[in-house]
Amino acid sequence: MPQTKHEIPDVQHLLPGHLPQLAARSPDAHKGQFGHVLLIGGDRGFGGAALLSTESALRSGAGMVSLATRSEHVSAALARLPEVMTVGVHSANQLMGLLEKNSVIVIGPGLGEASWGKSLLSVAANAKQPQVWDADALNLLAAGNVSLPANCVITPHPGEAARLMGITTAEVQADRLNVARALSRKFNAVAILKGAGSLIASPDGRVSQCDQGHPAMATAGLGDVLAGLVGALLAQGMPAFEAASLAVWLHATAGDRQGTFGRGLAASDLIPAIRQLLEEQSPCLK
Amino acid sequence: MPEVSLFLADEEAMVALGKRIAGVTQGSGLVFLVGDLGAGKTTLSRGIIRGLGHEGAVKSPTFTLVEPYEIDEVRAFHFDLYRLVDPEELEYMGIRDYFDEDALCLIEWPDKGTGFLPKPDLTITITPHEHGRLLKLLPQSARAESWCAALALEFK
Repeated sequence: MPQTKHEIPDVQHLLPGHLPQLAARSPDAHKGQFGHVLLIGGDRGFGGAALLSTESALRSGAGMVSLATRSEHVSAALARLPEVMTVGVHSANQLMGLLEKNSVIVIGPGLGEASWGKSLLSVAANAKQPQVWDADALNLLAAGNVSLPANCVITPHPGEAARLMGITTAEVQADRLNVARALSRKFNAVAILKGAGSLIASPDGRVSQCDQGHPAMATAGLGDVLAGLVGALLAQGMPAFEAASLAVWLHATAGDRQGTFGRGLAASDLIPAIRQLLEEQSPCLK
Repeated sequence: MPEVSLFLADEEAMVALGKRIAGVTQGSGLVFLVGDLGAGKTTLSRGIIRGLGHEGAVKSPTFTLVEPYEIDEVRAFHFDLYRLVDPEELEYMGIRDYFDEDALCLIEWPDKGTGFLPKPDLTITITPHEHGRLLKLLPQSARAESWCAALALEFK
């Protein structure tokens, strides 16, 4: 019988009831049990990206959240998110002083590709914590001599994936499954290949796919929200592949819900919708 | 104190000198490394960073401009300013923060940062010489004079 194109069987579709779950919290839980996410990003002109990511991490259950950003953005960040420890950093030297306290690093949203962002990335690249590399961190990873530490999640959209693999965006889109796998192998990291039908690939060969999502999600800042969400799930103890898979499903399904209101979805609208979905999917109490 | 000249026959000798520089500086100070591409600035830096006790790889900072190291109580920064387009970029990356706390800062291509770098403790100029390298160590502070005096005794 001639073989027609068919689904490769080991792609797990993300469906309610078959998703990774966070354990319920015990009544005497304390913040120290749910990790401390450090968000690094927000060069001049891109402060909002870092802030969206930070808010997303905070609202997805991380025990503590810190933000290391340009000092010009500190007062705006404090006004919006007083729960977050926001620190203005000029240099790699200052950033190093903050690292010890954190359990997960999210780097890239609004990081830029100038000397400030590069020097901060060199600190993350030498740090031991599990990390999420997003946005400009991926462009820097593609451009130069930076190596990704172990236990990372990378979150490229098709354009970033193309730069990381040295191919065109069209080539990425033509063969998304294999590109997702190749990304995870090349960087020895869990790779989220974003775009309609997001794929999550693990270096151990597992792949999951998310069929949720809405065209109203085609707007700026959505990726920043996803990066913060992955960071928060990692901080709460979920392994990288599970955290990436659940984050993508929550993000896309929240987009479906918010998409019912039509065009004009703002990335920050997604954050309360994600919180609600996470509670439905992984209730805080037993 | 005048500058100290040392001849080093090979890479091994360069790394060994680096280890001793780590020893005499005890992980504090500002050192400029001057020399053409391929002169051995990065090899010497590797020796110094290893000499501080770092066990992992010593990566080239050409792309990131700076590679940070934290080795027990010592903090070290290895800069390579070769790709710096404008010295003012150093201001944008908070260059002064690196010199505040007396970490050991090694700077390759310091001339690319002219106007934005403080006076170093020590400038090491490396030039090819016969099959090895000639190193000139120019102390520019009192502590660097004592470093050089110690090194001169050991490597003469």
